[in-house]
Amino acid sequence: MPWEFRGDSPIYAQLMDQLRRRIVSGDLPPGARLPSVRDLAAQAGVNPNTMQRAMAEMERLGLVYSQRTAGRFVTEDETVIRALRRDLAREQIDTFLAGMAQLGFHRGEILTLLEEEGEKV
Amino acid sequence: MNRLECRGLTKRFGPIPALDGVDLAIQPGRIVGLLGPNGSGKSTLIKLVTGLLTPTEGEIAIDGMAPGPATHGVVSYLPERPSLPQWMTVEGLQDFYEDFFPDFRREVSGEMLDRLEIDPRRRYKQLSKGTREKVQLILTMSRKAGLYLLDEPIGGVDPAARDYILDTIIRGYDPEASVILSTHLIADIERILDDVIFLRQGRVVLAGPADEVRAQKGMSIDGVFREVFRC
Amino acid sequence: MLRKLMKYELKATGRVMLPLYLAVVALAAVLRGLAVWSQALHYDAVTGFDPVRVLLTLVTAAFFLALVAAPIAAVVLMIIRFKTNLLSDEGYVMFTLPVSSHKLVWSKLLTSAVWFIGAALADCLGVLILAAEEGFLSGLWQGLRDLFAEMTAYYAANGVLVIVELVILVLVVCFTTCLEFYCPMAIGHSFARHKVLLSVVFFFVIGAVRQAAGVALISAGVPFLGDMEALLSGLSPAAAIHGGIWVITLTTAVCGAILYAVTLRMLDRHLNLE
Repeated sequence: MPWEFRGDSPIYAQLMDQLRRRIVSGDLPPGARLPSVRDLAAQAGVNPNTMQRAMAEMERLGLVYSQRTAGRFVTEDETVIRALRRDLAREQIDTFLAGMAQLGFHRGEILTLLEEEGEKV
Repeated sequence: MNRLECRGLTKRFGPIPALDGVDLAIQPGRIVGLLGPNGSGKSTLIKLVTGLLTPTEGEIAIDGMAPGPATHGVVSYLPERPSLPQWMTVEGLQDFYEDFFPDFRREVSGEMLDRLEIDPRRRYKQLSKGTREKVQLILTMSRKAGLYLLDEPIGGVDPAARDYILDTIIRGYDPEASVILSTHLIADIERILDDVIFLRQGRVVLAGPADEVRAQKGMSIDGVFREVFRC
Repeated sequence: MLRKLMKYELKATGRVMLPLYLAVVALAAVLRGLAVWSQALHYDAVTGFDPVRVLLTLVTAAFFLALVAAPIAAVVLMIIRFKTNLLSDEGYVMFTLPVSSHKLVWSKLLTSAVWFIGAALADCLGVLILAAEEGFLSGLWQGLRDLFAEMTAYYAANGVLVIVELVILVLVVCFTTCLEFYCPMAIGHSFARHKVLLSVVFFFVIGAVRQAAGVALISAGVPFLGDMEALLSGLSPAAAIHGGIWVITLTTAVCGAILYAVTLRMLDRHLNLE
């Protein structure tokens, strides 16, 4: 998964967002060891301090944990990951709903459309 | 202690100030972008810090010392154009750096030359302009300096080399050292910056942590730059 | 650090100078060999056109060319090195080494002196190889010893001391000659434009100032001419020789010191690389 950035929000927030997606998608499976901050920064092409800040935030949220010498790991706590999964889904839906509202769709229409389209999946 | 401090720094060439009352303090571990259009005073500021120019007014302190032979041991400087002695081979240039800079890490420079497939036995003179720039950047970054001054490091290189240069800066990151890099190509480098300093006509018009500036203005540093310097 | 600077300076310049010295010596040897050989052939160099004559002419021309080229190259290289290494792009690197600009300038002065003196020695050696007859060397040696003996005997001048004084004089002259070029270049290159043109202008300006100062000094001395004569006639010949050498050495050194101070000031405070 390539790293992509938009200009309009802080990079550390965008890094967190993308790391969370990687955890949910299984790109970074539970218990996986993360590369060093410097390597991650180099991969993403961002400042190591910014990556450090994103990591610290992720740690605070319990999504990753560090062991003094071994490095940093993705959490193995299923409940945390489940919650994260729902959070991301909710964000996705919010964006979708906002977009639909902008186009002038009502709740009923949206649900019907979703059911119709959902059958194709 | 601040790695670099400037107080009321002014440099005039004739009546026109190239730099006008600049105050700066740069802490260890920061990667700082010195941003501004051509002729805004970026190079002048860097040359003052290297001691290549003498200030008309104001003070500069690098680790508390005024620019001179002693600070040259702390500062690793990449000039805006290739300027290594032409007659030497790349290997000879490694010797040269090793002789004069105790903090030069030969093995680091060797690895980087290898990775860019630059033959150390070639003469500097025979290399293409782009390769010369790379060699000088490699030698500059192979020092374990306290302050790196990179004047337009990505000015004339192709995108692949530009990525390599940024990668080199990130991988070489040292929490004890500060990096100042000047450029007018902001979109390419803004992601690696901790702090930004905008210069216009020799004055600081905006300075602060890059992410704060982004959050405050709701746009990229490049966007802010375009707004500040709209023609 | 001065030693390291000199190492690179000698390497950079030796690539040009050493082959030139070698050419002078080698061509002298070849010419000598050719001459001996053509004599052995009872060859008449004056008449007719033939390969030996052409060869002799060519090698002779090449030898004299090399003879003249060695000292000229030493001077030209002295100028070029100062400009390219300190006042052009390379200056960005040289002036950001952890080395004082005194050392940068001295490494150039000492290296140039080495090549000036080297050129003189190489040329002497070349001429010696060409001209030396059997017994020439011992004759030269004997002549020098006689000269020393006579100096000591007749003038009570210490020959060794005179040699030492002459060596110092030669060095001082070498350094001052370099600085006569360095100083105007350093001034000329402190301007944003027309750097080379201004360097040439300042070269002549400095020359004119030196001459004017010399004239002023002499004319200031005119009223005391009588006293000077009295002073000189009272001197022993030995004292006159030593005194003469020292007066020339000191005046040259004073000139050099002023040029040095101006050069350093320009490099330290008014460096203006493109």
